[in-house]
Amino acid sequence: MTSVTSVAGLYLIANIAVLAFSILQFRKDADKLLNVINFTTNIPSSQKLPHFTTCRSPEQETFSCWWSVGDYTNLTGPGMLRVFYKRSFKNTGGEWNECPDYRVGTENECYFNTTYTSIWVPYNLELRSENKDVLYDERSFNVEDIVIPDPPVNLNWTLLNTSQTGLHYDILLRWEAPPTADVAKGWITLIYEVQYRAVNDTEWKVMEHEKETYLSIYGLKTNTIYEIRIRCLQLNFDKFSRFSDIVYVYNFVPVTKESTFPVAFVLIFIVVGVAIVLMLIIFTRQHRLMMLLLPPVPIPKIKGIDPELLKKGKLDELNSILSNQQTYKTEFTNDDLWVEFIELDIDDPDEKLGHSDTHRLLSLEHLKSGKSLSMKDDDSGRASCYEPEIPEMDSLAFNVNLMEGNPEKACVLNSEGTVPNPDLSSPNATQPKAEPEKAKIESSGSEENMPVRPYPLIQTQMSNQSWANMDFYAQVSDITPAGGVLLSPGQQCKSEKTPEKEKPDEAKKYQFAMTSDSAYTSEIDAKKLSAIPTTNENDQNPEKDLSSANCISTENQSEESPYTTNETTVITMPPVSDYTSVHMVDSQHSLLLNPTAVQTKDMSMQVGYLTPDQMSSIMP
Amino acid sequence: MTMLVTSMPPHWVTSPQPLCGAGSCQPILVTDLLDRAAKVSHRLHALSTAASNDLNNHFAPALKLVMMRPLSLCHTSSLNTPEDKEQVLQLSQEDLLTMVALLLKSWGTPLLYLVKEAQELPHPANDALLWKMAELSQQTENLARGIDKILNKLDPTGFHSFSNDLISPWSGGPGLEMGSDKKSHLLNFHFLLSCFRRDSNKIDSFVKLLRCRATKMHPESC
Repeated sequence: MTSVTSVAGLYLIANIAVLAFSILQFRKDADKLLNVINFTTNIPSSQKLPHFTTCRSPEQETFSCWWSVGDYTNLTGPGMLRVFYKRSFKNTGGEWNECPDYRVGTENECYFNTTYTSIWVPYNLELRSENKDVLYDERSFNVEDIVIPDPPVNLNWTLLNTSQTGLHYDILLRWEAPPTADVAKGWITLIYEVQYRAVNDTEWKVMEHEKETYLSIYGLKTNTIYEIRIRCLQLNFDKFSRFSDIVYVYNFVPVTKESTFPVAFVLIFIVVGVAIVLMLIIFTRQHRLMMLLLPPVPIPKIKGIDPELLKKGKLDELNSILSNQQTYKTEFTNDDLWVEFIELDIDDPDEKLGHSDTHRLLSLEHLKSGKSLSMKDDDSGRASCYEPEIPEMDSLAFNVNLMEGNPEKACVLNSEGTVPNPDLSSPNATQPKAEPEKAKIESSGSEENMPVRPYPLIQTQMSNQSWANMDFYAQVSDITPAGGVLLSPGQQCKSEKTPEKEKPDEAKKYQFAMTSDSAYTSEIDAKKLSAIPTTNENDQNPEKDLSSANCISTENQSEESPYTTNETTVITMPPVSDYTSVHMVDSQHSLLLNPTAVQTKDMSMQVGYLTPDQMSSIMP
Repeated sequence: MTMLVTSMPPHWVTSPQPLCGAGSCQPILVTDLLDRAAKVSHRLHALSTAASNDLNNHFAPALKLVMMRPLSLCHTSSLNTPEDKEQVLQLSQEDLLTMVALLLKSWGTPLLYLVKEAQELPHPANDALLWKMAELSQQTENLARGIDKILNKLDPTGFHSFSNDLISPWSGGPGLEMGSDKKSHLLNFHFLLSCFRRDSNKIDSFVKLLRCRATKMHPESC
């Protein structure tokens, strides 16, 4: 029995021993575990354990690790805490070594110089108590991952330029890489970050990362102090260095704003002064000065056209005016209508007409024509009114002729030709016969004489009352666009292609008829028809129509009728059956027909034209 | 396995070189080639860093600790590469280039695995990871070809050529997948990516050192 009990006792003791041992071991491990647990689970213990704060390599050649004692202030002092490290080389485990250099100068630092620094090799560091029993902290890293470079050095700046306004300037900032970093060999690649701000600003302006060691900063304001700082970073890593020392930038540009003030004031003063002077001139109506300073803008003017007419907007009248112009000269000359007209060159300088443009025009024309027609014109093979002897006549002479085969053609008598019979001389006729007059016969063949020539002559003639010398008359068959009056013999109708003839039986009447080819009437025509003196009655209209039947073809009539219908209200003809003497031309350039229908036997002289023989017979 | 390898040669191989005829055009300089190599290696490192960040940002802080597998276990640790600046500076140009080439070639297969893994990775950012992996794979091959070209230029005789035996074999991959849970996938992915990131930094440093060394007349380019 005792053997059994002893064996059991021994067994029990063994178990107890094992148990105790295991418990002890367990306690050890438990302590370890507790430490680890405390470390890993961050249980907020009452006291903070000593721990590594940071490990840093400035240039990837050496590194240092710092630790903190935490709350265990009793562990401060050299040797209280020890650092052990292990480098794992090439699959070998590596051995634990103690920190090669506890920097005495700085507290709690372990420094590894180049000998003990290996790149691309994993390190394990442990922070242990003095007796190596307590592990407070451990770290593992590769040196290349803990590179935090030193800040750049030698910052300086130079002024690049200043803006023209003197408000901004640009600088070129230069610096150098930290001396510890071996950038020259390419061991480390650094990039830099520049920050600047005005002194009184709160936020820094961050520039783009720069690989070079210089940077231009644009747009700094003058007379403001700026501070600039730089930090660098290893390429592909995210740990920046500390900031470099701050460099201050200042650019003083004296403000020259005062110089611009007087210039502005002077300019304003000048402008205001000029404006005032101009206003004064305008309002005081100093015409001379106004003309000098503000010349009037020339208004477009067409000779021969009354601006009033334009305003009224009467197209027909306008057309008639325009037809008087030179532009229609060629058209007129191209007409088949050969017109010949006689000009009378009245030497009477009396100009009783107003100073209108048309008057001036007419007088000018008159003068012009006078010069050109002093010579006989060639007949050009046409039957012309022109007779050689006529120009020497010192009496009015006129001739009407028509081109053969062209019934429309008629001598364009100027209204002088149609001037009433001199015998009928109106009381106003003051022109003595004896007064030498120079008659000009103008052949219409000359194209340059076509235009408005009769027109002015009409004017002058009328005003000069030279009609008194005329004792013959002709029937006006047509008014040319140029304003000339076409005299036509009675038989000179469009329908009848008869050459010049006299038809004493024809009703002589001064008629104003429109040819078909003249699409518009001239102004004088219009005026003539419209500005008949009020004494005229409308009875003339039918008479006019009647007389037109004699010689004027239906087409004339037809044309005339619409024409006349337009003017029905205005046209009033003197109560003359076959003719009416033109009394005068009033200021409105209209022919005033003599209301007294003087019919003399001499009226046997036909409208139309007279041959020179007749003329000579008439005229003394 | 070449599904992601583009048929197009790297840009710098077919760079617009004029058609040389009768020596009328200038050959491309080694410095230019190294310059381009540095750009590619820089991109490799940047992409791998970004991918690591994508991966880590979605993990809980506690898990990050667990995932800290020692990088000495990377398959490329067997390569005898310098670990110190001084050691690096002592190496010749050709040696450095050889090491770079070896490194690049060692990562050919694992990168393809990474690409495949990224497609099914149980991670919220796996789309971003996928294209990053694809890009990494492609650029690694580009750089490998470029380094070969530079080596040929610098060492036409092939004195420094290395045999493919030196290439670190990578045993991981299919073996790990089988029966692995999601966690293992993530861990493996993370570990492999970290290894590549470290190696890309190594490659980048080597190439940049070489570039600066080659451009002695233009020190400002470094």
